[in-house]
Amino acid sequence: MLEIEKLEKEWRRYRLKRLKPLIFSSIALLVAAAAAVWLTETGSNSTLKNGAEEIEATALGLPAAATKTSSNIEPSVPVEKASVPIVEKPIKSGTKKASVQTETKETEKKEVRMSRTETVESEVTLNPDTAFMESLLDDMKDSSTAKEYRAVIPVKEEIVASSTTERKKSPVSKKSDDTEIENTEKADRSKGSGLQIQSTKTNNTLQLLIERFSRSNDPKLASYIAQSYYKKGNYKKAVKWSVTANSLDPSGEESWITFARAKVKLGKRDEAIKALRVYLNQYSSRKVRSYLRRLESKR
Amino acid sequence: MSKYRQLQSIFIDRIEVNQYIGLDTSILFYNKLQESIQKPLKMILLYGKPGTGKSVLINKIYHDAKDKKNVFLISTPIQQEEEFIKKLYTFLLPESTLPEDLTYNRFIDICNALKDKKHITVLLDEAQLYSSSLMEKIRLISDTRTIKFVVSLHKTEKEDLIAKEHFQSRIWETIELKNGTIHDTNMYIQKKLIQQNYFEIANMFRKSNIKLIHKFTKGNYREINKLMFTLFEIYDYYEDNKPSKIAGSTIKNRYLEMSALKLGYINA
Repeated sequence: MLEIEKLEKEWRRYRLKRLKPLIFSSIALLVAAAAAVWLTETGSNSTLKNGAEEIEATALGLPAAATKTSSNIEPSVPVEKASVPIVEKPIKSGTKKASVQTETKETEKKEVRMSRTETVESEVTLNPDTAFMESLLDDMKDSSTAKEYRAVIPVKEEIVASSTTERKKSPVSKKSDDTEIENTEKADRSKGSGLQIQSTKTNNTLQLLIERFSRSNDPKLASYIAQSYYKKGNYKKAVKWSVTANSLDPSGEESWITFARAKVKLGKRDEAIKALRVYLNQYSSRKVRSYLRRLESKR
Repeated sequence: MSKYRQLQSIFIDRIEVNQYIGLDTSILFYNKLQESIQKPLKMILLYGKPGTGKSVLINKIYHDAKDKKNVFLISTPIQQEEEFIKKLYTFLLPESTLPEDLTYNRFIDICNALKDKKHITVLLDEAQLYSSSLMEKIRLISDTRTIKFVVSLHKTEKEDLIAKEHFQSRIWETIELKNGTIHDTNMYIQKKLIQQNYFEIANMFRKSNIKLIHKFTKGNYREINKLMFTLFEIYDYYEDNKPSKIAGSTIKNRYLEMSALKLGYINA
């Protein structure tokens, strides 16, 4: 006997277990992003602060570092003394150099000028390195090439498939679900020749189903064929087979929906809406109603 | 019987030739085996992991060929040597002529006497259950060229050894069956459902469902049957008790995961 409640609990635990690494990594990512933002802001603030201090110092005729240190330690500490710890702290070469020269006004001015230029230099080094952009662009180029390569395969496949079915006219974008499955299979098989076999086999299956329908006249089978054609991107055939299914069993909602979906793909949204309204006049279906609502809202 | 209970019965693991699913790979193996049977070989080795379709394939071969050729199937191994020899004798000659004191040596003589007059093929399923001494005798019987054996066995370390000892020195033909790919998994499920006219259910399976099924079962057909059986068991429960939970036109991965949990493919 199936203990569904127990199974549901187990599934919730399983889901949580699966989500845990995702949650943790997103939290870590958020923290990292916040830290990066904070660091960038702090960096730019300190640069701005330095700049402001230097400007202030220029106005006062003092080196920026001196002002900074004096404000940090004691206002009465002489300029020479104040310069010492800054020399010990080799953080900013600009400030360091500024602190060395405190003799005359002229030299101070010169140094201030030097500190300015060097602060500018340090600002430049603080700017993000854009070298990675080039590699990124290269990567993008590569990926676009890969995309192009991937895009080529369905085209080939479409051509192969079209030789056996009436898919000649279907555009590449109308790639079937089956074909997509086969594309994922491509990774496993990794041989182009396999794709040809797959397409032919799938078409054979559909052909067998059509033959089976000719014997059984089962509306559900016709509806299935219609949906298979829809998945393959052959919307005209999908319409044809949904009409067949429909004529055998007008109450089957699936055939009406497939009909409408195929019509929409063929650019005949109005016809699709009209058909669904006709259906709803006679039968009630939540699925059809919701699809009709969706179609009408997109109008 | 409810719809989902009927669906469960489709995926009960059993060998039914009329429910044989012709997948690309299985058709390939079927044709290969048919071709091998046509060749003047003494023994053909069919091996693979459990659930890869060996028994189904061997039964299909037997079913398709029994009216046309002298093909016989021993699906359950006969452990007793005497019984086994008697069985082989009845395949070759009428049971009424069966001597009371039929020994292995005498049977070899009979086979040698029939060498150019009669040729039969005997399909041995679950051959890993035969003892090494009996396997050796089977090999010697095949040397008479009156009986050709198609030996189907599981692939494990031990059975690989059997294969090595008894066949590999004189390999005639080997066919290895493997688990299915995602495409095979999809086709297997689709064809199983369509075969029983469950078109709407077949349409409910999306690519993500198939990928998940393949991930859990690794494309092993026995495991796919088990997973599908459990899935429809869950659906059956919800249909009776909480129908809103299974409303919708697609299979929910949640229920596949629940099935996998129940079968122990994954753990919470």
